[in-house]
Amino acid sequence: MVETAFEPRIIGYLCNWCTYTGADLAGTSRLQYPPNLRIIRLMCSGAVDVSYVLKPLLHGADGVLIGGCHPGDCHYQEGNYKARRRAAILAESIKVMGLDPRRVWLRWISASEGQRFAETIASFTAELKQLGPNPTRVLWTL
Amino acid sequence: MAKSEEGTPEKRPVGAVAVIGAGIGGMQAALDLADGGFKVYLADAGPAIGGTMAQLDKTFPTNDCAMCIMSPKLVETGRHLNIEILTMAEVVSLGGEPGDFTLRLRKKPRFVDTKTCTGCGDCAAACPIQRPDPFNANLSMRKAIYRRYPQAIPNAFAIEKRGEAPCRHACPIEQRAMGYVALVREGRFADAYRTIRQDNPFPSVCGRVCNHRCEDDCSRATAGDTAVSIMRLKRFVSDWARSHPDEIQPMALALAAQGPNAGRSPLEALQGARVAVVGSGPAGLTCAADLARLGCRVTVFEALPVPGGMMRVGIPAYRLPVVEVQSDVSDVLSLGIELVLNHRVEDASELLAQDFQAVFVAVGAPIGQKLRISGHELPGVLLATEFLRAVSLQSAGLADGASAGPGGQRTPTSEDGTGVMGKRVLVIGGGNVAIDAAMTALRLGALWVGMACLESREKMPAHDWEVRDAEAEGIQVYPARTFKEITGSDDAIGDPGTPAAGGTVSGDTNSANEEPDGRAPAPATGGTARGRCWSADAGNHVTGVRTARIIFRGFVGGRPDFDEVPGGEELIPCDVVIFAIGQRPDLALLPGEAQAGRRTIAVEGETLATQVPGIFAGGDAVTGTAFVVDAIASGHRAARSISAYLCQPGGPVAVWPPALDAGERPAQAVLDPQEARALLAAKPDRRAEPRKRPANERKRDFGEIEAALTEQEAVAEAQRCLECGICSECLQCEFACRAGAVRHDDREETVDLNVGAVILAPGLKTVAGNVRPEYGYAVFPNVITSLEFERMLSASGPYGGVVQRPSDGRHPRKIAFIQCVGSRDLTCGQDYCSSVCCMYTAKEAIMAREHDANVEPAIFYMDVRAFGKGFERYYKRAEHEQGVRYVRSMVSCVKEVPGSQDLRLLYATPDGKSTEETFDLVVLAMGLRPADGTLEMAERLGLRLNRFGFAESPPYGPAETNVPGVFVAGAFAAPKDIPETVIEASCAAAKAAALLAPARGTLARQPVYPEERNVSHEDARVGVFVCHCGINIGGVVRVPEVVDYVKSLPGVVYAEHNLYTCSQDTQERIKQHILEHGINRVVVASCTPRTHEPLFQDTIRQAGLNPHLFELANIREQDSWVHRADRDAATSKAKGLVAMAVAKAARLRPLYRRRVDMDHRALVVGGGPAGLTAALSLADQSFDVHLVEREEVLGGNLRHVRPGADASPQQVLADLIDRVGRNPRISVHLGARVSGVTGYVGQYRTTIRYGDGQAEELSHGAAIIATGGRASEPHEYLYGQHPCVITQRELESRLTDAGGTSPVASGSGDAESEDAAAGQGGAWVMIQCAGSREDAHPYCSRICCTQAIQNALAIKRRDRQAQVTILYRDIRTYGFRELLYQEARAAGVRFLQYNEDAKPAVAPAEHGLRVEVVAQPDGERFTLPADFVVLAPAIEPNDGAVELAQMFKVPLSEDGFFLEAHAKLRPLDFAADGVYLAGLAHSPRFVDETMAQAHGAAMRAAALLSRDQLQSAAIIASVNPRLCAACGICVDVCPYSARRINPDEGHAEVLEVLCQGCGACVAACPNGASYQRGFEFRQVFGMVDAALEEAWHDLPAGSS
Repeated sequence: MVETAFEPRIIGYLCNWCTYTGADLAGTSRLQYPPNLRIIRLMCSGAVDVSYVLKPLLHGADGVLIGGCHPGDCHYQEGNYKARRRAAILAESIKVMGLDPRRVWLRWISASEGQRFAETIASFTAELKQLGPNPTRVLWTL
Repeated sequence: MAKSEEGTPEKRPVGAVAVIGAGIGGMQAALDLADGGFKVYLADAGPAIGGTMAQLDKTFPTNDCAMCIMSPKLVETGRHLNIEILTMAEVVSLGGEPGDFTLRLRKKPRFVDTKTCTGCGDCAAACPIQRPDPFNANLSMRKAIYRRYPQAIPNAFAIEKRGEAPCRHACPIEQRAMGYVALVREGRFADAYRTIRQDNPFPSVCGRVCNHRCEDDCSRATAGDTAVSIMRLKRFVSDWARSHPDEIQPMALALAAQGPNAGRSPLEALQGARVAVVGSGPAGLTCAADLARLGCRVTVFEALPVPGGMMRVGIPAYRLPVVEVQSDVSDVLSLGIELVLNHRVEDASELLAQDFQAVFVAVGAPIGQKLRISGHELPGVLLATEFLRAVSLQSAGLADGASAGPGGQRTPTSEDGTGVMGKRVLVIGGGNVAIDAAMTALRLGALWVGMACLESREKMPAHDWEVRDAEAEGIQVYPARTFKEITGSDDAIGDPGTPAAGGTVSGDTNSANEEPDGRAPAPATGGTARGRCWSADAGNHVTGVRTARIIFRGFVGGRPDFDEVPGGEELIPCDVVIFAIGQRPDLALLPGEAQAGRRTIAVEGETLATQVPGIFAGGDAVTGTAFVVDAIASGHRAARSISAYLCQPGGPVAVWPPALDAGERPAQAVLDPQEARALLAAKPDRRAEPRKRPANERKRDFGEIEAALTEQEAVAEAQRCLECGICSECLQCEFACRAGAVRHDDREETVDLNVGAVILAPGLKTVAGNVRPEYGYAVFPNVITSLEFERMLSASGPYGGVVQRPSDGRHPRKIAFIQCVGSRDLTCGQDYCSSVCCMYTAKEAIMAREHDANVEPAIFYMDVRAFGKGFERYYKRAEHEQGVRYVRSMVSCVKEVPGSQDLRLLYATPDGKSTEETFDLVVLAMGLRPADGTLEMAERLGLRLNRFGFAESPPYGPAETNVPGVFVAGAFAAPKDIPETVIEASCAAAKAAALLAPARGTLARQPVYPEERNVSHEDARVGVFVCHCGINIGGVVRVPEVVDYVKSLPGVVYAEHNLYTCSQDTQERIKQHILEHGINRVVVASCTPRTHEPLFQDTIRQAGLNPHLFELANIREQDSWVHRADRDAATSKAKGLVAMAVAKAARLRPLYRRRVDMDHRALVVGGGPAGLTAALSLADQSFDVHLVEREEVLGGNLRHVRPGADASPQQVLADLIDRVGRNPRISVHLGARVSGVTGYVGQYRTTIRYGDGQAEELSHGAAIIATGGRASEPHEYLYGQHPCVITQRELESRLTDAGGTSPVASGSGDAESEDAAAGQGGAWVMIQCAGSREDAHPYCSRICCTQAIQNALAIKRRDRQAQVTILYRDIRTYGFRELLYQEARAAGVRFLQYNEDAKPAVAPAEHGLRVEVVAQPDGERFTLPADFVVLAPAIEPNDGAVELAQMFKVPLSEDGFFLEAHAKLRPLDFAADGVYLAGLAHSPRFVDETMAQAHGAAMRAAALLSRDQLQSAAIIASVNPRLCAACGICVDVCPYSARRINPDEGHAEVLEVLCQGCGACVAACPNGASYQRGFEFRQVFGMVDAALEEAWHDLPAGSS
């Protein structure tokens, strides 16, 4: 088997109204970023269930990104606040499971921030490269 | 009010409305009306909807991203079934009457088909023309083909053209000269070659010998400079192409494949049709080439042994090397044209008799002519045509004595078959052919060469440079001569001067009586043209030409008109005479009736058809001798006619395709002189002059005289082009567009719309930046306008959201904002207030700090006008929390600091001294004006405008105009912000809807679908369609590989790839495959679902599938466009994304919308002006209304309003109450309070309770809250303690009820005492903000400044001696109310400003009162005696709001006003559908504003009530009751009150019509009992699994 360089696998839950649209704008603007992200569109970051984050991390994803509207901009008034609270609790609880909370990012990226989106993916990818593969990935490979 | 209720119209009105202007106001009006059951035409002058709001970065006071909040509205407008968007449209006229108008619009050409354009942007990448981008306030560049902004709707490009560039306009073949010049500038020579070849099959020829009329008309030349050297650029490109055959190859193939009419489907009738072309000159070959590209089989017959006609045998090689002609000709022949050489066609009709379906005769005019003067038959008298032909054929080795050098060059030393070597040669004629003959003779070794002609030296037909070239080579010119005879002799040659005896023949020398010297240039096979034209051995020979000097006046009736100069006879000695005085065609091959006299062939002008059906003729044979380019033009024309003829033989010969011709050419681009000057100054000015070989050297051989431009010279020359046409028409966009959407021949259209009403919302523009020259805009680079700064702040703006100085890109630290530039300024005619600048500046200052915390913003202002809802808080936050420095001072001038380009501001400090301060950047807060074109539009509609150009509405008639049935919204009525615009748009929509109520629903369409297939029992059968999107996806992602991979995925039964999956034909394919393969889930892998999902959902619905059995994989915006450099990773990711979509699709379930019957009645709570107006508006729109008022009388606050003693509010109120009372649709419930609300949108049950305790239940579908507000009670300034301290309202009562000017007058109403009081000079001190903008009411009450000024003016009108002083903090007379402020100051009302921390003090005095105030800005103390002190108390919401809010489950703001769903875009709605708000319950406002709001709220309600059923959203939450523990968490988290615990069932449930589908409750549910339809756990997990199963793109170590 050919040895491969570590390329992080990221699952991204993006809210339909801001961050997903921002990701589209990155495309329309032809901004280039690493191909390590697989996007799952949700209606609101407030709909990101805890299990949405845990499942990929337990199944070998190296990072999970939650993208929502800036505070105050939520299409559903306060869904992003809910996401923020949930993410804070989650960060604490996954430590207990032996997972690194740096593998879960919550970012506010608006529909006009294509640049910010591209930069976020680039820096998240870079950070995950530093962290190395998610231990669960190794376990599953074994 | 709308005219609708004045009598019932006899006929039903038209159920359609035209909305002009598609900014946020236009969109809102369109959506309201379309939702309310009307057909809407939404027209905009630009290429996309969105207006000014699309340009904004953030919006105040919430700092929302403007595009984020607007883009759902854009999409909704774009998708709405009953909104038809018309872009590039302007109003021409309005006919008919209210209810039945004909609105005529002019639709300017867009040049791109919006239906076909996929918005991919390939065209813009190919376009060579850069333009300043007005969307980015010209801070960045865009292409001539552009999209206004990335999210634009329609998501299609448009081309900016000023007209046809003059170079193209002047050219007979409409060569796109500007196009290839632009491409040369870009160094894109292969593309340039293709552009040239598109119109011109002979670029090498025309690059050398064209008379380039393009350059005569070049805008550079007309602007007083020298023309761009267009012809030489063409030669450069053709030379480059010749030396880069590999790069040209694909072009040639594309040209051959494409046909001359790219984008049009080939015509069946032309495929394989046989056409004969007689003559292989430029006309014949052009026609042959065009027809071959259209699919015809063409045979060209040529009498000579070589093809090319006069290009080949008429033009000497030193001007046009033979090899160049040959290569152009062979390029043409390579299109599959058969060439038959040495074949003289004797009779064109015979070709028709053979199997040719059409014949094109292009035999040229090869027959020379002589003057029939004495001696013209002598040997040694030659014809230029034959002479040049012989030389040319000899050089090619096709004639005797040939010794052609390489490239057709000859040396004069070689044996010469023409016999001019060593002779004296005189050429008769002054045109180009004469020059050619003379210079050729010189090169053949003639001893001496002269030229003689009728014309004067200046008027010679040859180009001046040609004559000069000839003279430089030593050719002697004899202008202004007539020719008497050619003298001859038997003597030895070399003895000129002795006329030969008997050699003279008298002739009619005064006429140009030419005589053809016989028939035809005999072909080589015939032998007569072979070898020498003339032999000196023939004995009798020429000795000279006897001429006479003349004064030539031109030709009259074909004859020369001149006077001989007495004594001007001169014998010019020579041995050889060459006539170059004209040529004519050989007509023998056509029947006599097809000939025009003896000179040319007669054709029908436009079509070139001869009298013989099927035979066409063109080129020199028809026109007489002309330039190559004319012949090419003729060939193109013939090809069009012949193709039309072939499509319909025997029918009338029409020009085809019509768009290319028929006199409909676009107008020529004309540069504005000022712009031309600026462009000339900005571009290189030196024209590349040709480098010619020295005369002495070049005259020895046939080598080319002129050298080609070097690459560097060519690019520099191309940079000189002024690009006056804007679009260069280079066609690169058309070549790049794989969807075939580009339409360069698009023409202006007129559209007539039959509509019942018109709403005008054309929007605004900012005042020109240099309106105040002393601020240095456009002079100093770091002085910018607010709009420029707005774009700078925008993340998608020119600098990507980085705040930087235009001059050096440095981050500015100190930024000065100067307010009121072009506002409140009499000096520039802009004396009104623009209403929004104070707030947008506060926002810009805050955002600048947010971008860079080091920024120190300073705002220079006169008054801060933070009068709207939430504005005062925003302003205070800017000042106290965000570090924004507010300086109350007007800046007198801005100067640049030499060297640093910093800016020095001169302004006055509070102590009155002037000071200077240096800033890095200055932002001018530009005032607002109506948009461009509104003046003209108003004129066409007969609309009354105020003196500033804004539309005038009658008092208390918001949105109305002087033209019945025409309404106005937004900034065209007055400068205003977004929420006010949105409110007014809904108001205008309400008025239109009232006018057209009987026609509601008559023109609105409903979609029709087949019955839905039940797939619940089937296994998932997924069909996948992967899109190439031209090259947008396919150029990066290996699409076929993705398709192969997809086929292996579980559940996939079919997969294919498409060039454009969104194209109409692919929709049909998808439907077909669904039926054929039993597909029950569809996945499309293409672009973003945000724009394209509805299209595909509609398609599968048409095929009988539930639209939610669809999933889109975004492999363009989120894959191919962002991983362009890595095809492997992009392909791998595409596979993953499609697999994820397939995984989700396989788990999708059909979704259905819950329907609820609509109760069409409305409830209006509150009987003040807002409630009354809303009730009437709804009733006018034919809805029944319950109007509930808690008091026993209607009228609310308005009962007390008499601004400046003006009685009109009371008249308005009386009118409203009267109309409500008479309206049978309105049930008024007086003395009743709402005591309970149950139900939900569409089905409310509200209980009201009367004063006597009686209750009544009202059923309704929607509610409008209009509970109003009241003036607060002042607690300071001795109010309530001293009788002469009163409120403004109390003052109004006094002013109205009595004379009121005297402090003692208290309502006697006695006219005499009023008169006595007049002139007494009472003293009035008004104190503003007596309650507002303080802790108790930390907001601005909006109306008090205007109210005080109106009352002050009323006092002044009654008593000019009265002393009125207004103590204020900021005067907030926004909009045109500013004019009242100016009037008051002019009238002598005194204004003193005080600060919040040094409030005035009121004390009783001996007579009346005494007011002490510290006046700002200089802190001077005043003690003012006052007969009356008048206070402006705050406006606060009425009590009861809290209870009502709880009952309707709607929120209140921290100030107790009702809180709308969204401050900007939903100012009249609550978050939950079905409840709306208006009036003081919303925020303090004027009566007319309240009425606008009430109409708007009524419209919002009406749009809902007009539906028969309400549909829930499809994506909503659901509950699995088995898992639900009824814990109630979901009820708490739902922001829409869409959750409740069903008491009967004991579990949570979803009120489906209320649920907005955010999914918050699902994530919150601790039991997993809740799920979100369309985003179920198993669907999301399926995607996660698919993503993690994918191989991804792990690369071998070290390779990445």
